[in-house]
Amino acid sequence: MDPTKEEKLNISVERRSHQMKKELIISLALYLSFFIWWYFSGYFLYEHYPKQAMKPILGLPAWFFLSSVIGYILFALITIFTVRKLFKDFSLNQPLGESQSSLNSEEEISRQNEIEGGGQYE
Amino acid sequence: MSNYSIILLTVIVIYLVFNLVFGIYASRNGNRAKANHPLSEFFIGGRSMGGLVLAMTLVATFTSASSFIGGPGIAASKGLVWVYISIIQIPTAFIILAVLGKKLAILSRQTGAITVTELLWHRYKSHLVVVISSLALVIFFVAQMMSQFIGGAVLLQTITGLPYIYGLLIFAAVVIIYTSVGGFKAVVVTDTIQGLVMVVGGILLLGTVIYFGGGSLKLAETMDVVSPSWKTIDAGGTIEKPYVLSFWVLVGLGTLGLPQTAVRGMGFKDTKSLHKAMIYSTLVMGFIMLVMHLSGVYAPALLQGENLQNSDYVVVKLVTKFMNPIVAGVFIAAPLAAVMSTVSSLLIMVSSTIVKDLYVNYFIKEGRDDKGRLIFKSGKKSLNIRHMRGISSTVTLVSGAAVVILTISPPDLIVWINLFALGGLECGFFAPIIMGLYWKRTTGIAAFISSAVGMIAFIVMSQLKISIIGMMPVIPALIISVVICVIVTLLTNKAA
Repeated sequence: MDPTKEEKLNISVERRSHQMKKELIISLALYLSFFIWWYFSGYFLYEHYPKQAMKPILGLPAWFFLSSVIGYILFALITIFTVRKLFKDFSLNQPLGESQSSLNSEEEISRQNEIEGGGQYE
Repeated sequence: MSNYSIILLTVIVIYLVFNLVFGIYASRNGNRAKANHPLSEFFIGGRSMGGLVLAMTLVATFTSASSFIGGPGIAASKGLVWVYISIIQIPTAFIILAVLGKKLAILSRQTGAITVTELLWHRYKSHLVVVISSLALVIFFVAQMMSQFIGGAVLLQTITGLPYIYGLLIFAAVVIIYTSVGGFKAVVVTDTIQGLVMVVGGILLLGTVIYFGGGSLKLAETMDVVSPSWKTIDAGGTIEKPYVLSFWVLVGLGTLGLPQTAVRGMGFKDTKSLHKAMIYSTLVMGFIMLVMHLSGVYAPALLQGENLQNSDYVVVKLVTKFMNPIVAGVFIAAPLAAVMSTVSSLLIMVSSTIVKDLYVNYFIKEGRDDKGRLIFKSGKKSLNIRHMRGISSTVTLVSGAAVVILTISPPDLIVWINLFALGGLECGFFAPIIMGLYWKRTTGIAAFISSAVGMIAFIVMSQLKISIIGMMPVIPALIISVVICVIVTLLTNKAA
């Protein structure tokens, strides 16, 4: 990509690391929320409000419609919102910072071009 | 063979040839193709995947014959709960990309790693880890590939009457050739086509079912008569909650440990592509799951009176009974697509392990010649870029051929291994990958032991049918693996 675009993506390593942690937590929260919706509109509804759970929507019982069909639509929409509004673009070419990197310390130096695809495990 | 079968087969053959041609063509294209390191280009496509391709290759690699034939077949007898279970997979691609995507992309660029094993090496500096992960990968992947081939060939045979061996050879040849010639790029590009075909196939099937069933309301009425437990959340008492909940690990969080999905975190272009992929993969995955399994649920309403040998025949029967041969041909392309996409992804990873993690790693020294070009020295001999490409292609071809030969007359051991493939891989790789990425102190010994223990625990529990509070063995085995990883790390970690 052209150098000016690449420039814009080069945020500081700490800011990037902070952003990545943030996105990770948001993603896990989103996943958990889907589980909760799935569980409550399915099992919980079915076990505690059986009459309502079996009410037909388009021929399908409410527990199923809510958990699977609506669940899918809702999750898709929330994912779109989350990714577009909350996630940020940044360069992948800078190495991970000290706080994030789990590599051995000798690896911190970027040796990209030299070893891309090559290199021995020594 | 009947007219019907011939027309159907023709459509399928056209589709196969299209994949072959497009896959190879797409791998030649790409302005950086020539400039890249040959191994990087062949095995990770030079890290050039865009959003749609990344999404589709994730979805396509993950969905296999079971989503198209097996799953709907079971849905036919178990009812809506089976769809309820398949829904669990909707956020799977998203969470894989979210947890692994950016970190793996950065780490792999930083270390130049092109395989998962290589990344694990840079992380742990342990030969034990390299060996165990290479072995596990090759063994489980070969087993998975074989079962996919069998599924595809049997499907072709059932629908068109084409003898098993011909079906197997035809579409195995197509997959193996485009993978060997085109490498990673061919794999992901054909995955993209195959993903689209799966979406179309799903629409065709559900459309057919709803049309011939008289609409969703009429279908519901018929189902109430034919199979009254279809609406229950426990399939009339046969499917327990703990069993269902275990799927949240098997096809949910556990997939974070699968090397075939992790490697895709190493091959995409930029964060923009990643973000797009998160959206597309969710949309496509959810759609395919919902549509295919729902079609299966309604099948009993349309197949009343039919005597089916086993649940795999449900989809087959729906197709041959209700679809005209051209539509059927297009639809059958979908499960074949699922099979091909899975096999191609696994095949390229097997050959990448053999070529990079074993051969190049231990036997080749890289350097530059006097013109500044990359050369590879093996003892006294010197190989150039073209040689390396040739070796990569050949190893892929030979591996594929080996799988086919094994599949022609499959040893029982293979079926046995395949049962454990998904769970085994997850238990074997989850701790090393996730603990490695997110906990600085994890040591190589811990990774090795937790990997071995995880796989063994899983296999033993599955064999002995040990089920803890009704949950599948993958859950306790995974937990054991992670706990052992933590314990061993705390014992062996000497970092200041």
